[in-house]
Amino acid sequence: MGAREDSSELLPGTLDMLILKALQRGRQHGYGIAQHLKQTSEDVLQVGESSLYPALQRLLANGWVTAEWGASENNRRARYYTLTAAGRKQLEREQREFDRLIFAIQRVMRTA
Amino acid sequence: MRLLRRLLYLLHSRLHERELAEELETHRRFIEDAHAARGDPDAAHAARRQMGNVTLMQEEARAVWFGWVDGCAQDLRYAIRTLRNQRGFATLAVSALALGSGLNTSLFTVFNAVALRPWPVRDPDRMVIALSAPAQRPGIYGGFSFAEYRYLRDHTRTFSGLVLVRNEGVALEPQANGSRVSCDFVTGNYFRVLGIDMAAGRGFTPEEDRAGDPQAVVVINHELWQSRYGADPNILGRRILVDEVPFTVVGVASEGFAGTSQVRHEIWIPIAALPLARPKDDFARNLLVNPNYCCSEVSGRLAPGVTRRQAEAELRVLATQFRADMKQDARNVVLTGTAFLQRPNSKRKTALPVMLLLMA
Repeated sequence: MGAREDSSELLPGTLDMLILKALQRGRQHGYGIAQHLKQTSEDVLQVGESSLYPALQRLLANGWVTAEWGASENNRRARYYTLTAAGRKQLEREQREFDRLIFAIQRVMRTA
Repeated sequence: MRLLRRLLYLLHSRLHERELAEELETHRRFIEDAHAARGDPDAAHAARRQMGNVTLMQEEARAVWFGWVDGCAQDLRYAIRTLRNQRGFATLAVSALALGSGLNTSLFTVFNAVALRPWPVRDPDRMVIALSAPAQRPGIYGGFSFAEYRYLRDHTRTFSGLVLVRNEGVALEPQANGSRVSCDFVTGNYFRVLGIDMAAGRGFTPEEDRAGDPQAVVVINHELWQSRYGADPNILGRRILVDEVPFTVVGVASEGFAGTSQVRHEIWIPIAALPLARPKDDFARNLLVNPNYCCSEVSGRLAPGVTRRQAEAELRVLATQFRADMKQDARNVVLTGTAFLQRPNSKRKTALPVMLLLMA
């Protein structure tokens, strides 16, 4: 499947947070989300569809995003995801948690 | 809210599966486009290779929504498949379950009939059973001597009627197989106090209840009239042999009444006539007069407006007086409801298993 970082190596919940962040700019379909993450992270974060779509289902199940079919650029039928108000709140929450975690890890790593 | 979403998803699960498949197909096409844009000659193949196992992905997506339901459904399907292949075991298991629940139902029915129902008489909640209780616990609860009963009956103001019943087995029209029927020897007011209607004839009259001048009369129950006597239209006045002594039928109890104990009774005879049925039996004669000859069951109907507590207190006083007069040991009187389970323990312990056995 290529040298891709599997989302299972990310901290749990991080992928959800990344997807929510990606949708903060506006609605997007699955492929578009994956592309955005790849490009913004300069190819570090490459999310495969086997992780992406289950994660999107999770976000749907929790009511943090909604989905609807629409026409993509080149007129292809694609499913677009949009952040909900609850999703925005969840993004804030996860961002705070993530920052806390990263800061903690950094402190540990800095000592000697 | 989450549960609702999940439930709604389940309703359209096939639709969602199709949608996911289409979504993945779109994703693949995007990848193909990207390869083609880079000049890859084998874009389609590269795209397909890059995508993973679609089915697996669908499974994972579904698992997000209903992992647990799928698990259950799967287990159920497996169980049914397995049982189908093992019919013998399945039959046994189902039978055991059916028997178990059926047995519980039937046991309760028996229990309800035996232990919980009051007497099948008029206004059963006004009827009480009187028990001669030990002065100190523990002790044995028993019945009363006929003499004591008569004293209570003559002096009570809290009862509209007190009856005494003594049960004995008798041979009716001597049968070749020596079978006996259950006979209740009762005081003359029995049918009146209990409020039992007659299908034919009447209950007993006061004249038939005098110890000094007994009358050989008998009341039979409805079923006996139908089966043994073929619903004889001339049953009243007919003479039947009770322990080879002729008794005259004066009444047939209404259909369904067979006495108040758990065992069905076929005939009733005034207790004054007990010596007639047992001419050679000294006990029968003494029973009616001697207070030391005990014990028969006493029950009664509370007078209107009287509480059980009041009646109990009164009987206690009367019984104490009587026993003092007769120089007998003091005993208490206890009144209970007529449902079997309401009687105190010592009577219950031995009787209940026997009754369940009889009911079986």
